[in-house]
Amino acid sequence: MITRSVGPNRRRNDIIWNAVAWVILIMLALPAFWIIMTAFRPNVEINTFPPVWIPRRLTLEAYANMFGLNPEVQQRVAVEAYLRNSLLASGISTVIAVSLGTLAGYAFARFRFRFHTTLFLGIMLSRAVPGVALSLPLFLLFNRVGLVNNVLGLAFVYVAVNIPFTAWLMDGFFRQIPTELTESAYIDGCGHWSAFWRIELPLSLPGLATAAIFAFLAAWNEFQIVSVLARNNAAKTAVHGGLARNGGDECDHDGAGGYLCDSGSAQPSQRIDLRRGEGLSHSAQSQWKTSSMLCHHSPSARSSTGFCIGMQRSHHFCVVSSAAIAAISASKSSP
Amino acid sequence: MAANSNSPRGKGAATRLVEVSRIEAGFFPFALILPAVILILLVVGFPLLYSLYVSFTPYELLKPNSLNFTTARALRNYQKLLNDEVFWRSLLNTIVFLAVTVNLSYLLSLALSQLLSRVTVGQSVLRTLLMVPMMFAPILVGMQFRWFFNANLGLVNNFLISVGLIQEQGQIAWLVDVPLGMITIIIASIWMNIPVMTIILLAGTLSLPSETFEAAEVDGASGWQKFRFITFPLLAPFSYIALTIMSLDIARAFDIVRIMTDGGPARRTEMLWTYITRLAIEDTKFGLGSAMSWITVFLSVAFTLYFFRQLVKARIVR
Repeated sequence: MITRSVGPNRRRNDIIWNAVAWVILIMLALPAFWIIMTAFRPNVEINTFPPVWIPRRLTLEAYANMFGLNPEVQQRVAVEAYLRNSLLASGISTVIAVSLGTLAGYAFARFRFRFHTTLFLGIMLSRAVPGVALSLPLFLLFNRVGLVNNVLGLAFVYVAVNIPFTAWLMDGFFRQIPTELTESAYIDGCGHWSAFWRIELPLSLPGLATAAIFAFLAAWNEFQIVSVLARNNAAKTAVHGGLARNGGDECDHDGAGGYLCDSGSAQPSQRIDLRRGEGLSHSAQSQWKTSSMLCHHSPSARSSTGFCIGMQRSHHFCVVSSAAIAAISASKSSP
Repeated sequence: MAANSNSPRGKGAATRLVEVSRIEAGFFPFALILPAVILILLVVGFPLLYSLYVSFTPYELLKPNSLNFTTARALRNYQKLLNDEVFWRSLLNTIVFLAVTVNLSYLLSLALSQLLSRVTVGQSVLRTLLMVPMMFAPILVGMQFRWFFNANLGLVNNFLISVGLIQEQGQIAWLVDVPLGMITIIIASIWMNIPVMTIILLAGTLSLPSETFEAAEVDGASGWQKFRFITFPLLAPFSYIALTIMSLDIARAFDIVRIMTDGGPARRTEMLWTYITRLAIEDTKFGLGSAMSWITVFLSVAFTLYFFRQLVKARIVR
């Protein structure tokens, strides 16, 4: 921290810096504010011209529509399934990824061994693989073992995707614990494992919480892999089923830029010509076919406006609460 | 033992500039790492190898028999790509997108972190404010920015109309016109990238030793000189951490492109990631898609590796 001599000039400069920073940051946060407020505003207010910046009326009707509490909204999609899938995939993968990532991070932070850098780099680079590239072979392989459309399969993938960053974070946290502590634990008769379990792990709990939040958010927000691995509605997560159901450009002409859009407009995967697959018994292909047919014919695939918005909003809710937790844990660990 | 009083605690991880003395423990560390490595090999390593194999075959999902490898046709997919105009265009788009996004995000975050480090009133509030976008799904950000830039209803055009910069009939087609489509995507992804980078750079700035700045002040250095010759070089490790983390996540920009323009209209904003989706998922050409996947994997890994090397050079990891 830079110490400063106090003088009238300094003070004036300070005021200017503060003012500039506040103005810029508030401008930067405006879209975020807007995104959050969208969840609690009536549609009329979102789409008027000139735009209504400060909400006049707050409402929970989108949530009511989403969970079917509004009798006027007839068509509903599997909100509960989406949320359950999201929670299961994110929750399971977070627990396992944080456990395994913590072990790995501890090894990297504390011990000297051969291939230290190579292993670390290898683990980190696995995270650099784009989800799009990974999703294709995963679909083919999972299809053979019956893990397509399966939440557990998804959780399995998310574990591996989340381990690298968790390991990196935990490596950093463990490094901040002085080595002397471990060494004195050894002197007192602890083995490697009990030194870790009884001394260092309890000390790294704040780090563990941060890593868990990051892992959970990464899994919750993941789209590329789930969009390929979930071929039917019941297997989709909140982000995939609720937010991204309208991929096409057609939606642009609709109301609130897409989420008002009825998903009757063809989704990319629906455009496959079904006749091409006739008579073939390949299971991958039948998976594919089922999904396309579901999108085409089932009434549940045609979502109502209220649902689309509501889904997006439910997402906000979780996002905001986890944001709060993350902010608190981060402000505690920063100077 | 280097108990450094200046050790940064902002981002917790990896921001420690201290050389740590490590313990020799035989097989124990390998046992700790093994489960993680096995899982990663299962979920990332093996599928990637499989995808390499698929990329050498003319595999199409709806023609199960096409998954067979023949030496003569092994490189067909790659040949096709090299002769594919759309591929080259999407590669160019991707490179432009990456270059602009990475550089601008970094510069803006650097400026913002310097600004924030001077804030004396309510800095923690501002930090929290800054972190809110970190929690949004890229899909959500893309969707909302698509609405912001919507020609008829979007906030941006509405704002420009009410300020009087454009007429009500002359609305700008942000997502459609040629450079504008890319620009809106870039704006959205920069907005998403800034928080993480700024937080890391801010943590770095706050951890710099104050003695150096005092000495510079005694020598009469100006504010710019202090930044140019002290802050910026000393921030190098933090810069590389921020850039490494960003390069790890860069492919998440796919979500934004997918939802904002989906590569369109008329492939104007097509990028490698969206083109893979188009080839493999929509046209079921898994062989071709896998070949292209490998090109993106190579790009991403090279990117990350480069920044990571710089990071190691800046003496932070070891």
